[in-house]
Amino acid sequence: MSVGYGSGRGTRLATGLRVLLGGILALAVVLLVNYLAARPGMRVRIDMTAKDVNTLDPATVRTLENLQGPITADVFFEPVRQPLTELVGQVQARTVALLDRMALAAPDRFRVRHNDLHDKMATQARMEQLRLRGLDNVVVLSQDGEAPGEVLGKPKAVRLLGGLATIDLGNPNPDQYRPPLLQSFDAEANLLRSDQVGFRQRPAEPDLRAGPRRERSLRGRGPNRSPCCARLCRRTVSTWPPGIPRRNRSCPRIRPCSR
Amino acid sequence: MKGLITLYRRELASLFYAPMGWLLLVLALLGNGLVFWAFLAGAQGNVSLALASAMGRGWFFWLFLVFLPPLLCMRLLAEESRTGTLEYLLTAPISDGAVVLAKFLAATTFMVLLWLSVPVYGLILQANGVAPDWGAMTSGFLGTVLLSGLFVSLSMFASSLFQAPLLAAFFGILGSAVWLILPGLLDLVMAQLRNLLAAQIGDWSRAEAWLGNAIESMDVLKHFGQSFLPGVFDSAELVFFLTWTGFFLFLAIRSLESRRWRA
Repeated sequence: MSVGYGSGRGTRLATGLRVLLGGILALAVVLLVNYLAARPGMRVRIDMTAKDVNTLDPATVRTLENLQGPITADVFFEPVRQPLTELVGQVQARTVALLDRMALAAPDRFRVRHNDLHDKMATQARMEQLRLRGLDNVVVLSQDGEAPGEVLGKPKAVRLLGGLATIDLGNPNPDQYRPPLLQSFDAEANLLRSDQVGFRQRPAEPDLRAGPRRERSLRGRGPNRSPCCARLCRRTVSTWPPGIPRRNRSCPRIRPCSR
Repeated sequence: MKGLITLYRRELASLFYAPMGWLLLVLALLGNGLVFWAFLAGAQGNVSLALASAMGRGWFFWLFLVFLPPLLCMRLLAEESRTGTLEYLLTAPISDGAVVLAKFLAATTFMVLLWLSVPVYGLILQANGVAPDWGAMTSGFLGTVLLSGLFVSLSMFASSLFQAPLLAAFFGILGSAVWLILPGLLDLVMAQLRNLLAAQIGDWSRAEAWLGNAIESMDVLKHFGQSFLPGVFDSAELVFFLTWTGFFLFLAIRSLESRRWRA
């Protein structure tokens, strides 16, 4: 059987193939355009709400931009019993929306992983990776390693109630009935507390050009050499956790100040 | 262009001449109104939450989107094909693309008229002293229109494949539902496969992650829920909805064209 335009059958086959190829090409175009449109440089997001509820605080954005390594926020949420079901559900939704916004703000440094607690095997495996047990309505922050699923350091679990939000349980007594209420929602501030894992800022480069004698080199010699480079170095890494030798990681080749 | 506008008017009018259009509109408006009232009562006076529930946060909204467009679109191509009137249209001095586009625009306009009820609820609430967040409302409405367009185009494609209207509606509903529950379906399948094949294949977490990401990138609920629904205009999500709508319209046009060489 030959495929060509000579016979009726061949023509139909050729046209069919053309249609199929057109469909595949169109699909490829759709995927490519979507991929390009989602690139950070191409994407435009405008918060249209009156109170800018979908906009992250500038301090949060700065913190996310200065993260040292990729951080994963593992979400372990499940519904709670009545009468708190709706209220906690709203808090959970707000927290997830906040985490998603943070992931959008720093896609290469902050990831969100939604763990389905119904999938017990996958949840168990992830909890073993995180070296944690008995998680219930928490967000776990961990620093990612090189391999997929590898976790560096000790993850930090932040409780939804008490950690990210505070609720008033109300009063179920029919005489003095008071419905449960959300008292405060401080997830943005509490998630980014400096003692949480991974939210260490990259040390800022010391600005040595601002002085009256122009540029000073940390590693150079002569009159332009910084008089106290080790002290400068210590000052810039003051947010590091204690117990880690500072000079080994932040100032690898800087000579300490002479005594 | 003139032919497109003429055909669009004719299609829109035909939707309202037929009792089916009115029946769907009345049922949908009644259901939407009742659900909005229930959400307003349940949200303890949170007007924004109630309006958001009527436009994407509630399950009723998705039920509309799965069922209404296929029921509307089953007439547009499949029934015309069955009765033979489609042949007249296709031989008229107007391109196949214009025919599909006019029918798509008419069905989407019908859906927009249905969703216009939600801003009307907002106006009623404002008249009673509770002003909703109009920015969030505008964003949600825009997203709803885009979503409706997407599901209408999917239904148009299903309608172009069959000559029996009921078959077209069935496959339209099936396609819409599958697309909506695709990520959940994948999780379910993956969990089963993980249990079954873990011993044979070993570690396939990379492949699973890749597939998960691919499916997630097509998750309509996520695309809508992370952008338009909470009140954010996102250019990437706009492109997502427009390109997939265009893709299904393209398939519908090719499917119509194929009738010529299949005949």
